[in-house]
Amino acid sequence: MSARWTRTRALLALLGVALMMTGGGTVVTASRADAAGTLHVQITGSGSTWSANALQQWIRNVWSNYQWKITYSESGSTQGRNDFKNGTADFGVSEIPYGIANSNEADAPSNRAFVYMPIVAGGTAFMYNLQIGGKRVTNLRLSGDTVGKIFTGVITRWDDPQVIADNPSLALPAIPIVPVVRSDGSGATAQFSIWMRQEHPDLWDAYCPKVGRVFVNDHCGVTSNYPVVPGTGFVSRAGSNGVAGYVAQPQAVGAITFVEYSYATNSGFPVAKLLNKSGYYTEPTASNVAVALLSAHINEDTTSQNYLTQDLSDVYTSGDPRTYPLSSYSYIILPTALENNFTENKGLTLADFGAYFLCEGQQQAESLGYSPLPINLVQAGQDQIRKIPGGDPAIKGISDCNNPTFTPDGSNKLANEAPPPSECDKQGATQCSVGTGGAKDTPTETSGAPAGSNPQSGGTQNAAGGPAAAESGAGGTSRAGDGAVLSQNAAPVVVNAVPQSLPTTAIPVLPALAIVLAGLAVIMVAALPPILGRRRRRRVLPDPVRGPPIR
Amino acid sequence: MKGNPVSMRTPTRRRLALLAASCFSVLLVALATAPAQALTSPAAPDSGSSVTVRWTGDQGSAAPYQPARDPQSVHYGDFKDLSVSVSKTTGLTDEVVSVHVGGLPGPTKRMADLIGNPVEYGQNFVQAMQCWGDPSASDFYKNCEWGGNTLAPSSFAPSTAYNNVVGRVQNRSNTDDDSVPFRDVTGAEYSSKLKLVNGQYQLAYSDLFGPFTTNETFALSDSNGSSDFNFALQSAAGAPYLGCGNPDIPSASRCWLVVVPRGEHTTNYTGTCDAAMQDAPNPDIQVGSPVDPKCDYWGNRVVIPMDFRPTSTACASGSTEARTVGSELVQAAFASWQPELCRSTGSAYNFVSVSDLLAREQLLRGTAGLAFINKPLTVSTLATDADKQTLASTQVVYAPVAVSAITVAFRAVSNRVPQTELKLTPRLLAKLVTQSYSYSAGGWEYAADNLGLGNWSSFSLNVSALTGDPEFIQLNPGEFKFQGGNLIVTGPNGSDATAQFWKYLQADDDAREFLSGEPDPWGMRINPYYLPAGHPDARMPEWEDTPSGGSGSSSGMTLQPKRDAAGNVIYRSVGLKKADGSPLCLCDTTQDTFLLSDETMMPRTIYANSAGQTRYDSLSAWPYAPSLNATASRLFNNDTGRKTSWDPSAQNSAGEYGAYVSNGKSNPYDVFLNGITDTPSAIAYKLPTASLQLPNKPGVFASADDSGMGAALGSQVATDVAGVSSTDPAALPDDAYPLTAVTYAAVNLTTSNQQSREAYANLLEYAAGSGQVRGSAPGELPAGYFPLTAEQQGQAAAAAAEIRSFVPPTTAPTPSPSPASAPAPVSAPPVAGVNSVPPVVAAVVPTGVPSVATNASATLTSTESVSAPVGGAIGGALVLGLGGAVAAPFLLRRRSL
Repeated sequence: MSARWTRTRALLALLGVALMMTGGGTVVTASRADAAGTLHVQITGSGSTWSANALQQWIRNVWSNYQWKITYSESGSTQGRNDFKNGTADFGVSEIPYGIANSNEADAPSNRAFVYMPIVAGGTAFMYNLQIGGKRVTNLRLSGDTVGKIFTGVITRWDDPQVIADNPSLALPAIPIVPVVRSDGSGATAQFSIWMRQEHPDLWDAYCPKVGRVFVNDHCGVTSNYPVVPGTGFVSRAGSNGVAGYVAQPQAVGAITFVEYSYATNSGFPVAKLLNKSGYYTEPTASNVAVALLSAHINEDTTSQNYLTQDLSDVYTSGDPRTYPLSSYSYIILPTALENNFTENKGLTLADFGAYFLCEGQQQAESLGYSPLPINLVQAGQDQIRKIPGGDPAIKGISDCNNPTFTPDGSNKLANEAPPPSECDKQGATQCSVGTGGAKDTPTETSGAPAGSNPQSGGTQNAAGGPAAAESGAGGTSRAGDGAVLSQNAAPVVVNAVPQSLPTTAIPVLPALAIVLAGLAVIMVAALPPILGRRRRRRVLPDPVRGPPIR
Repeated sequence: MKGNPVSMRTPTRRRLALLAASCFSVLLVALATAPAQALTSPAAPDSGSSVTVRWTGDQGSAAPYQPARDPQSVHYGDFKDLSVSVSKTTGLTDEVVSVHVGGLPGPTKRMADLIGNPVEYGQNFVQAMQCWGDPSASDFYKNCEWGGNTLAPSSFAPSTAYNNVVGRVQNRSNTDDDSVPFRDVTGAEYSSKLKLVNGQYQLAYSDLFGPFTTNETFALSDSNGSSDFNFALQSAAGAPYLGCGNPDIPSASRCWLVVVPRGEHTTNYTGTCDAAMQDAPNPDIQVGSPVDPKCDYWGNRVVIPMDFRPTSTACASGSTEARTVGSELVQAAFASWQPELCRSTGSAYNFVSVSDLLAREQLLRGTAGLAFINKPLTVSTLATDADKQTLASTQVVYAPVAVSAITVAFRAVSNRVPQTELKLTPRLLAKLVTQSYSYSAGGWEYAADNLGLGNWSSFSLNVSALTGDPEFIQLNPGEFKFQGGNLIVTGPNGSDATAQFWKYLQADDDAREFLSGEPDPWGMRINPYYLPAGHPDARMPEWEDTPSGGSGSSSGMTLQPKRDAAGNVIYRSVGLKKADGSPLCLCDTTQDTFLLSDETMMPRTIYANSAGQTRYDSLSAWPYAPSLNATASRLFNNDTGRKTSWDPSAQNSAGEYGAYVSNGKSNPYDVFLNGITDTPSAIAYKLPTASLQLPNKPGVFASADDSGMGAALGSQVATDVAGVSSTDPAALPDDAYPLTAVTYAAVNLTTSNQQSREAYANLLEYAAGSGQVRGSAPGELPAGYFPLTAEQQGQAAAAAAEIRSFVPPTTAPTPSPSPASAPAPVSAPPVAGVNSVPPVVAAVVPTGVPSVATNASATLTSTESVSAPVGGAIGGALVLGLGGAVAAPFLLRRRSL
C-alpha cells in the first residue's frame, strides 16, 4: 500500500463526497449543524427610517398571512446598530455597516456574531418645496455639484446662477434655500456624506472646518450626524417623516431635503432630478435605481466581516444615461449566534421573515417607492439567512423566489426594461415640464430664464460645461482616496455586481439520487478495498490469542 | 443591616440604568406597537362573554378556580368587596380586552421609601398577567408571564421602587434559592436570577419575553377604589411559550387572566419580600413580587378563564402573493381576511398602504393591479395629459368592499376618572386642525406679554386650549384635564379620508366662517398661518432676539416683535397658497392632507444657563403620526411623539451637547388627547370616540357607530363614475355619521392578466360575502366596520363576475409592448359603457404588471428549463455509467467464460 494509492483513494473519496453533496443538497434539503427552531417566537428590530416604509408593510403582511410576529422601532440607523450591539434588538437595520471607513464617529462593530444582508434598494431623493410666481415647481433639476453646494451652504439662494444653469426653463425666485437635514443619527446622512466625500471632496472638505469637524484621512469625514453651522438657515429634523413633514408644509417654500423617495411620493411632493455622468437629469424611480446599482461593488469576500456591504463609488459615476446616482440599498444586521437572548425559535421567525422579504416582499418594493433587489443580492442574502441559528425558511433558493427582477439569463429585468430618459432631461437648453415624485400630476410650465442678468444662452452654456467640468475636476484631482469606503478589512475581494449568476434551479429528484448514488459508489471504490482487505487479512491470519475468556 | 441592601442595589441599578438608556428607544416604539397585535381581530364590542368574579362568595362559573379566602387574613378586609370584570372571555385571539376592578380599599397611595424616594405604587393597585395550565396547582405562579419589565429602562418606571414590584422576585435578591422561575407550556423552567453576561444583565426567561413583548399590566386605583385598564391577550401565535390556543395542545385552549390586587396590608417582613423600606413610615407598603410564593400577595389572586380560538397558519410560507395597494381604511378588514383567503382560495394576498392619490396613479400606470380607494379615477383627479389619455383607454371595475369611518378618538382622564363621552362641532374641529388654541402653537409663552399686536388673536385673544373654549364647555359637562385636548393628525402623506374630513368642516357655516377668518361668537379667530394668503389678517410680526433683562441665570434672549423707527411693529405676510399660487382658503378648498403650518418658535426666551439651546417649532411639538393606526397607538400610549424636552447632556447632530429629546408619555391618570384615526383602529385600542355635530344642525350629533354609519350608507350620493358613491356631509339625515366612507376596490382590467383576474375576482367574491360577516375570528369583518348593504354586496359580486369573465380583446399584439410601468396607451379599449365595439388593444399584458407572480413564475419556469436538463444530463449520464459499472464485471466474466 504505497502512499500514491492512498492519495488516489482520498481523491476518489473526495469526489464521491462532492457528488453526494451536490445531489443530496436537494434531496435532503439543507443539512444544518444546529437544530431548527420549533416555534415562531416574536422578535424585535430597530433602526433605519429610510427602509421603514417597506419594513412596516412586510411586518403587517407576514403577521396576517403567516403569524410571524415582528416589531420594528424606527429609531434611525445609528440607534439600530447600537440596539443590536447591546442586545436590546434581535436584528438591526442600517444604511451603512458598523465602523464605516473615514468616519468621524466611533462605531465599533458589535461583539455579537452577525452578518449583513441587503433588504431593499432605493434612491435618496431630494424632495423640495419651491414656487415660481406662487406656482409649485415640480420639474426641478440639479447637478451633483449644485446639490453639494446647497447642503454645504455655498449656494444659498434659488436664483443662484448655477441653479439657473441646471434649470434653463425656470425663472427661479430670489428666495433663500432652506436645506433640511436629519437631526438624529441617520444612514441617509451617512450615504449622503459618503457621496459628498467621494464626488465633491472639495466642497465637503471646505465644509468640515465651518462645522468644527476634523479631517479623517486627509478629507472631511463620513458622518451619520449631519453637521450644521448655526445661523445659516439649515433646519434639522428627526426621522425621515420629520424632514419630509417639514418640507411638505405649504409655508416651507424654499426647503429641500434628502430622504428616501417613498416619503416624497406619499406626501405628494416632487423630487429633484439629479444629473448623472451621461448628462441626463434623472429621477430615483425603481428602474433608474436598479440601473444604477448594476454598478455597485458588493464585497464578496465571504471571510470579511463586511461581506455583502456595498461600495457605491461606481454607482455615482455610472455612465448609463438612466442611472440615478444616489442609489443604494440598506442592510439588516442578522445575529448568527445564540447569545443576547437570541434563541433558535427567534431564529426561525427571523429566517422566515428574511426569506419572505428577499422574494415576495420585493414585489411590493416599487409600489412603496423602493427598488427591488437583483438576483445576485437575493442569492447572497439567502446564504446569509442560512447562518441564522434555528432558521428553516420555506424559501431556500432562487428557484423558489418570486422576485420581480429575475430573468432567465440572470440579468436584472427592471434594469433591462428601464426606459431611457427623455431628451428634454438632457443637460442643455431644454427642460421637461412633467412633474416628479409625488407631484407627477402637476406639470410645471416653462417660466423662462430671467432676461438680462442671466441670458439663457449663457446659462445654457454654463449648464453644459459648468457642473460637468466641476465634477470631472473633482473626480480627476481628488477622489479622496475613497475607492472603497468599506476598506476596513484588508483587501476585501470586490467584484462587480452585474448579475452574472448561473441558474441554480434544483436538480430533479431522480438525477439527484443518481448523483448521490454515483458519489457513494466512488467512495466505496476508494474506501472499500483497504477496509475489506484488512478484514480479509485479519480473517485469513490465524488468531493467536483466541480462547475462552480469562474470567 | 440597613445599609447593605441599599449598597448592593446601587450598582445594579446603575448598570440597569445604562442598559435602560440603550434600549429606551426600542422600548418606546415596541410598547407603542405592542397593542397593534390586537388589530388582527379586534374585540367585538358586545361579545356576550363578559365575566365578573367576586373576591369572596363568587357563585359564577369561575368560582372553582379562586383560592380559598381566609377571613382571618390581614387582606380580607381590603378585598372582601373586590370584584373583577373582563369584557370578553371566549373565542379569543391576539386582542385587547378591557378589565374593570372594583372594591379596592381606596385610591393608589404614593409613599416614601426608606431613603425618602417616592414610591408611586405604595398601596392599592392591581397587577394583571396571562397564565397557562392548571390554576389549582401549587406552583401555578410559575406559569404566568410576569417579570418582563425587570430589565425595562428605568425611565419607564414611575418611581425608584418600581423594580421591587415589576420582577418575578425582587431584583436585589439574586440567588438561585430565591429564583421564581417561569415555566413554559412544555414544562421547561427559566430562572429569574439575574446573570451578568458581557457586562449586560440577562434573565433566562428573557429568551421568551421581555419589556418589549410582555403583556403584563399595572393599573392604579381611582378615588372610588376602582381601576380600569386594557389587557392585550397573546395567543400561541405570538407567545408560543404560553401556548394559548395551540391546536396541538388540547388543554391549551383555556388560559387564564390572573389579577393580583395589592391593598393596604401585608405580612411580608422577611426574605425576598422584605421591603428595604420596612423601616419606612408605613410598614404595610406593598413591596415584592405578585408571583413570588414567599410574599403574601399571590394568594389574593382572582383567576378568570380565557378561552382561545385555535391558532392556525392559513398560508403556507413561501406562497406567492397577490398584491393590492391603497387606503389604510381597508387595512384592518384586509388583515382579518388574509388568512381566510388563503384557506378558501388557496392564494395568499398582501396589502400595501399608500395614499389614495398614489394608489390611483399606480393602478392607472399598471404598477398596481388592484387599488383600494374612496374616490374613483376621473379626469378631474388626474392632471397630466398622458394620464388622462391612459384613463380614457383603461377599463376599471369598481367594487365596494368596506364601510368604515374617520373618527376623533380620545384619551380623557382627569384625576384618574376616565371620560367616555365627547361632543365636537365642525367649528371646534376647525379650531383644532388649524392650531388656533394658543397652547397648540406655543402661544402661551407669547400670551404672557401684552404684545399689543391688535387683531392677531392666538397669542392674546384666543383661549389656550379646547377645554377653555366656551363652546366646548357648554357641550361637554364632564371633567376634562385643564389645558388639554390637543389633536394628533396624520401626515405628511395624504388620503381621500382626510379630504372627506375637510369637506365635512366646509359644509358647516360656522366652521367655514371661522376658517375664512371670521371670529366665533366669543371672539376667537383662526391662527393667521392658516388664513388664505392675502387676507388682511394673514400677517405675523417679524421676530428678533433681544436681551430679556434680568441677571445671571435669569437673563437671556427673548423673541420680540421687530419695530420700525416709529415704534410700529413690522409684519410679514403669511398664509396658505395653492400649488398654482392662488390663495388657499381652508373654507372652500378640499385637500387631502392635514397641515402643521404654525411657525411660532419656542421657547420664546432662552436663558443664560442653557446657552446653546435652539428653538423648536410646532412641527416638533406636535409631530405627525405616520398613519391612522399610529395615531390610535399614540393615544393608547399617551404619547404624542413630542420632542421638546431640552437635554443639555444629549448630543445634537453637530456632536455638540444639548439636544431636544422625547418628552415621554403623558401621565395616564391626567390626560386629554384627541387624534384623528379610523373606527377599526379606535376600537382595536379600546379608545372612545367623539360624536360629531352635523353641519348646520346645532344640537344634532351622530356617532361613528352602527346607527351613524348605517344611516350615512342609506343616503350616499353618486359620483362621476357609475357605481361609486360618496358621503355628502351637507345632505345627511340627523343620525348619519358625516365621516362615513365606503372603500372601493378598483381593478384595472386593461393591464390585468388571467391569473390576476382570477385572484382579484376571488378576493372580491370573498369581500362581498363571508368577508361581511361580523366578528373577531379570522376572515370576519372586524369591529369598526359596518357591513355592506345587500345592494353593495350584489354590486361587488357583479364586479367579481365581470373581472372573472373579462376577455381581453384578441387582436394582433402590437410589436413591442411597452415595458414596465407604462401600459401602452396605443389603442383604446372600451371604457365601460362608452364604446360599444371593443377596439384593438395589445393582448399582451405589459410585463411589469403586478399580479399573482405571472412574471416571476414564467421567469422561474424558464430558469428551470435552463438548468434542469443540465442536472438531468449529469444525473442521467451517471445512472448510465453506474449501470455500466455494475454490469461490467458480469459482462466481463461472461465473456471470459
